[in-house]
Amino acid sequence: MSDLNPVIFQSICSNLDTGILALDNHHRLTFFNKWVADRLSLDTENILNKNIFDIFPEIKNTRLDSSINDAIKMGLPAIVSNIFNHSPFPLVKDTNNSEKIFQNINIIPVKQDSESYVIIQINDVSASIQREKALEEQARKRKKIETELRTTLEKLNHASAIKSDFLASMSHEIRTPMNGIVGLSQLLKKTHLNSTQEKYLNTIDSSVNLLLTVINDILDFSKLESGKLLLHKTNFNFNNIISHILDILDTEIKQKNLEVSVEIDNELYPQYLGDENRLKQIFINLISNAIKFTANGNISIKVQLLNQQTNHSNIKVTISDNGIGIEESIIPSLFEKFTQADSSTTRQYGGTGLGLAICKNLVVLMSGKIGVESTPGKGSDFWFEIELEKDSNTTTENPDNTQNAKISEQVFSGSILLVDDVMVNRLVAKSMLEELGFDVITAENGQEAVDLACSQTFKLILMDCQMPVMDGFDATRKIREMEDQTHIPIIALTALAMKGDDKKCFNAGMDGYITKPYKTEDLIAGIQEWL
Amino acid sequence: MGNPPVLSELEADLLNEIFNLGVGNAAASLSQMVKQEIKLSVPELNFFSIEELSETLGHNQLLSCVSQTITGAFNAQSMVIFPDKDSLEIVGKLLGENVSEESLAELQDEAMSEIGNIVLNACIGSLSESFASAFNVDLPEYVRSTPADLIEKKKLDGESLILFIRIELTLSESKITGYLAFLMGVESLSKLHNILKETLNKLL
Repeated sequence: MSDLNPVIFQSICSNLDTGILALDNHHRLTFFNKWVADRLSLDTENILNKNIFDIFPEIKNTRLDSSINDAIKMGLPAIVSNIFNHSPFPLVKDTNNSEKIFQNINIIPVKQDSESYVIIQINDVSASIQREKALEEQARKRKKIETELRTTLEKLNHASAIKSDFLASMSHEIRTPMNGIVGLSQLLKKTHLNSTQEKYLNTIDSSVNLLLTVINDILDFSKLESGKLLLHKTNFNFNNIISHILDILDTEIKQKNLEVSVEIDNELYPQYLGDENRLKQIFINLISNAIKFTANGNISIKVQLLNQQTNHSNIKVTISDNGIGIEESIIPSLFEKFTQADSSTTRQYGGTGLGLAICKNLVVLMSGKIGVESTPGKGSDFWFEIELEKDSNTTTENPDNTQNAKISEQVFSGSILLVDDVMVNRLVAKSMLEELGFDVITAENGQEAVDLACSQTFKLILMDCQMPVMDGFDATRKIREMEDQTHIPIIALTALAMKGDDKKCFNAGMDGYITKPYKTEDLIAGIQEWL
Repeated sequence: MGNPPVLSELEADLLNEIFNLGVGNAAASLSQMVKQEIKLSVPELNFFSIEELSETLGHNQLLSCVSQTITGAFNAQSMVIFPDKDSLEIVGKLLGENVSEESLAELQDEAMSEIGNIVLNACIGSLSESFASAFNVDLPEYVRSTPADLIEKKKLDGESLILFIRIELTLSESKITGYLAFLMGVESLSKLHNILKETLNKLL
């Protein structure tokens, strides 16, 4: 650089966004720029040519001091950061703001005509320090929240485990007496009743069915929520599903004088692979909702083929009604648990509010989607879309139905050992079995069952699981140990209806599994294969 | 590549002593600055080629490096090198436990620059005093990279040799190994050798 005009030099220095101080080799301040003057919290008038340590006694014996000396004596440049050296110069934001400035300082030795000078450059790093501090604060807060979340999660997991245990035991405790009610009311129907008694009995029957649905809903929902519900693939066709559902709901439809139309796309494949029971559950929930919220009018059930692929079909099912309809604002929360369109409808129409949440979860589990279009006062269209795998081993008739029809007319014979510790349960099962034509021998615990199985021959054993003295699992194991060539079918009759309970039965050596409460048809379905 | 100068036992001792004095002063300055006891020692001094340096430090090792160019009686690129993770440990220990990991990473460059500056200045000062010869020294520059990148960034020619000095930094019960490296051309190396000889002659 050639000789610089002092005016230009002054102007450059005045406009720098950095502080500049210059010292001679006797530590005298020979120059400071406007930036420094604006920020110095002391009188700047007479500081020129004064010793820097007299002007700023606070820097004596600091790293700044030794760095200045090294620069003068040995020409060593230095950086003096705010990290280790807190704000060495008494600089403030401005004359109105006495907040101290955080400083990063460079010390640059300069030699001219064998004279040593030192340039001190000061940068204001307050902004980045403040950012640092904010970051630090943020990190601290985040850590605190993380800890809190972890604790909450632990608590939740614990609560969830308690809930599962509670549901399992509740399920068992409720199913056992329900078995008595369902069975006995069925048996009672077959006795001579007057019309009033028959009416009362029908009411008991429908109340029990309702209660059973509620229990199953709650159990299903807790399984869905915990991800414990798995889909089981079977082959099925839509005609059978819908006619079965309409049979079940026949009484309610007739009571309300509703007209039901069914439209099934001809292009649908004859059989699909999917979880038939869970699909039925979705249908039954949507159709019974349509019935529940339609005072009089029509319900239509439509199954449409949306898209045909080589191995799959995309299918849309729509259940329409001309019932009370749903306000638009409520629709988004409709598929959440415990929601009904209007909280007052719980009282008017009944229900747990779990039905649609279960439907949504099931449809999502099947990788599909579910939704509703509705106009208040005019009705609702509930729909779901799923992709189903085509069943290439298609048979045209449903073997189940024809077999069921035959069996219900069939007369059975032979001797059955019935094991249950609860008197009511024994009474129900015994009456049902005797009516079907069986001879029934009863035992009250596993030990009695083992003894009887030793001394007599039975066609089949119906075994309760939880019993005093010896439970059903141990009794089954004992019986299996005694067998050599023979294999007597042992079917569990149990109120244990949670996931994994069936596995326990099979592991103990049982052949089948019937859950309480059951009806005569369920009993036949559960044992027919082994006769 | 040039051959490393063959130093006599006395010459090697003198050079070692100069650096020992330098790092000793650096340790004192650092200790005073952070109000913790810091020890620095020079257990080993070698001449390396660039390849050997890369091998010693690990080809893929990320390094934290502070360098200052010096010119004068001889020219060199002086550097303080620590493995990156160790430099983070040093900064962490110096700043205390109240600093979060995020902030530490942010402060690492600046803090290491100053630490490196103190160590290099002390060593350059010691060389300068022992040889009674002043150097022109640039402000420190901070680089984080692998050995190969480091040499690329410093634009060193293949002829350069490195005066390579292992240093041990002891700080609140941790012993951390770092390095001082003076990268020099052949000419500067022979100048250094001559200065060592002259200095010894004056002393003896």
